[in-house]
Amino acid sequence: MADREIFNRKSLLSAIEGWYAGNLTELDAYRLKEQLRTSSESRQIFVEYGDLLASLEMNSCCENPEAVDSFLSSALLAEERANRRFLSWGVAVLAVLILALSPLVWILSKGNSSRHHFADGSEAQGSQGLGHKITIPVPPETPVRGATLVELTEQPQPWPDEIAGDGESSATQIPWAIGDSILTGQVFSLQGPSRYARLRLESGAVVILESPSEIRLLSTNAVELRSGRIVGMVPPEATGFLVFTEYGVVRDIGTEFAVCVHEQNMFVSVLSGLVECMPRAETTGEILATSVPLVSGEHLKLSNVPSEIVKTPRSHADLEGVVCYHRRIQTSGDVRFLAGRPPLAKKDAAEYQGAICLFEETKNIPVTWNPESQSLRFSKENVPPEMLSFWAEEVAPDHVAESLQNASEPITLHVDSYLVNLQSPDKRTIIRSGDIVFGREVIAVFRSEKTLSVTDWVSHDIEFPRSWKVVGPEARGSNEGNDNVVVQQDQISMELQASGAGDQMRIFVRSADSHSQSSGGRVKNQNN
Amino acid sequence: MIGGINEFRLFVSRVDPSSEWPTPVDTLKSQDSSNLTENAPAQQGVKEEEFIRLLMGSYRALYLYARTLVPDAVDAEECVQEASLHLWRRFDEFDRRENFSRWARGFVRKIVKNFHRKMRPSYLAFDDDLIDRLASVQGASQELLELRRERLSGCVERLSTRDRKLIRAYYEYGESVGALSRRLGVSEAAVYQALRRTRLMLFECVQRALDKDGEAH
Repeated sequence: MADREIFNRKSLLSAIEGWYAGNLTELDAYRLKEQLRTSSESRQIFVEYGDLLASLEMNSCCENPEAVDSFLSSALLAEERANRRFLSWGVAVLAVLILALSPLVWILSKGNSSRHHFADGSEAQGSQGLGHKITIPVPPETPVRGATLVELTEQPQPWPDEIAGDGESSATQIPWAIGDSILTGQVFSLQGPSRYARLRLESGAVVILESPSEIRLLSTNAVELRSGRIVGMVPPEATGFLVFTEYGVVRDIGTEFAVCVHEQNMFVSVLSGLVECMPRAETTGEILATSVPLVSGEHLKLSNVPSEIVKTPRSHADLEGVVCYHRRIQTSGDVRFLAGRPPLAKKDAAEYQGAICLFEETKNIPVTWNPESQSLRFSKENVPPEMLSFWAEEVAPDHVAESLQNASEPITLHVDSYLVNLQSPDKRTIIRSGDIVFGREVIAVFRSEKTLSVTDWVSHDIEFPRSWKVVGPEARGSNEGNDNVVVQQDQISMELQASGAGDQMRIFVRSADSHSQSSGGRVKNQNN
Repeated sequence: MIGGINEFRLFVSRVDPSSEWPTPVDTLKSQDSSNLTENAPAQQGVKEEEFIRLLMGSYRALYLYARTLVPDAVDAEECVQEASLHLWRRFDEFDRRENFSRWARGFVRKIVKNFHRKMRPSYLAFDDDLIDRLASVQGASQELLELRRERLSGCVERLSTRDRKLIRAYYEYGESVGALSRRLGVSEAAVYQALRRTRLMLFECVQRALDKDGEAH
């Protein structure tokens, strides 16, 4: 899901061509960047296309590299510089004219509202380039099936099989059962502690609610979040999925995102993809034509007092539970899961002192097992920069040995990367501990060059690059005896300390996308 | 060492369009001669020569590297020029056992990141992380890219006569879009569209050629 491609090959090439030509729209630029971030294949195409352009431009010189430095290119560059200077003078003159005339324009336009207001059922248009018209859906007089309840549980369980089992017992305590239909216009309320529900809308979009939450189904592709927290997962066919709250609107453009309504604010976190957010006016509830695009790892707060959108450096803490549930991650102790890219901003680090933050990082890193060389490799182009030269000789464990040894061709599986960050800004030693349970097999855990905790997937002879920046316990004084990391299949138990400097640990986990290829989280046949 | 005088000369020549654009070689050749005379000129000459040789040997690769990450050819050239200056200043730190091109690419990447921070419109700019990812793909795909370049000339030959003439006029002979539109009797937009279509055709042609090679093996 996270690796879903926004563009197909043809439209991707068109977007890349537009980027190089400088005429890509703002929306397509966001889409392109998002796809390049998440898809190694798209990055490869981008580089190949750029190289083709460069090769065409250098065509006359390719036989003779020295010609790059020719007098002709120098002269052309100088000419270009002159043209730019002329252009910049032109722009300056234009700017002066605009400044001189702007008071007149303002006076003429006074009396018209600076915002484009509209009522329910009417339309507004964003003003920052994305510009999609948003219509508040009015549920039809004759209700139709808008969604189906597909999962229900009382505890955040990381394993899908267990979720289905718990769902039956939960269903007896609330007036909904798995398989029930929710009609358009109907309210779905999930009360009580630590309950989660998964609804599949008729459009294909999936909504996960964490209790206490309440939504109203506006149409087959739109919900109103009245209170609580939800995660939306939107397949390409449901692009345009809308979440309305009292404070604003989120329009999906192919993504996974979390929304929380809390103390007269609305918090939005994009887990992957792109959304567009618009605030609503405090008094009238009208949608204001101020849209902000939000991409993977970004968060924002919408408030109607006054109506405004503020990009925030992190997700609101209340989103943690529902995001953990969605990601099949269970944390305890000091560990907290936050969607977003590290590192933390400095001002934020203070808020997190005393906690171990688990960041979701790079998704779907291909790991290839080569039966001939008996080696396991992370594909270079998709690995976090500091891991570029990672490789490991595999000592095949019992449960994978058979399938690996029978393989005649390289086998690839995908892993997700998570970064554990421990911060102690005030230079005192802090010791924190906790557990992380993934709904998937832990492939490897890396701490530093000298401190390596791994599962039996990866063993020894790790070659670390010089750029590896993890501060390991060996560099932190005499209390290193408190550092302890234990890995057991899908679970990591840890006790870590930090003083002054940040401490990090990188965890590679079998990708959720490849979960169907395994049995109970263990490798069964990776060659499917 | 490249010092204030030479940097000033570079600055002057950049803002004066009537002067020639200083190439890395020009810039380096314009060493502060008095400084050289006083301080071991022979050694300095050897160092200069070595640097120029290494730089020129890598210049094409560095340009291709920058061009992939920068949307405009002129800006890409400027990035490489700026990186060349930094390379010279830090040349003493270069470990002769290392690959110069790889060392230099790190500098180019930094300059490219700076360029993106100032890029307008800003929504086209890439963040550092994305640049790193693209750059690592570029660095890891050298052999493949070289193969693609080899196939490119064959694909240009396979274009229709009209498209081939257009591509050659624009890229090889440097004819502007305006001049082409006047000569061909079509609008400038039509020329841009034709160039765009032809580039995409070339890209797919190169891919097909490589796929065929793969099947043959």
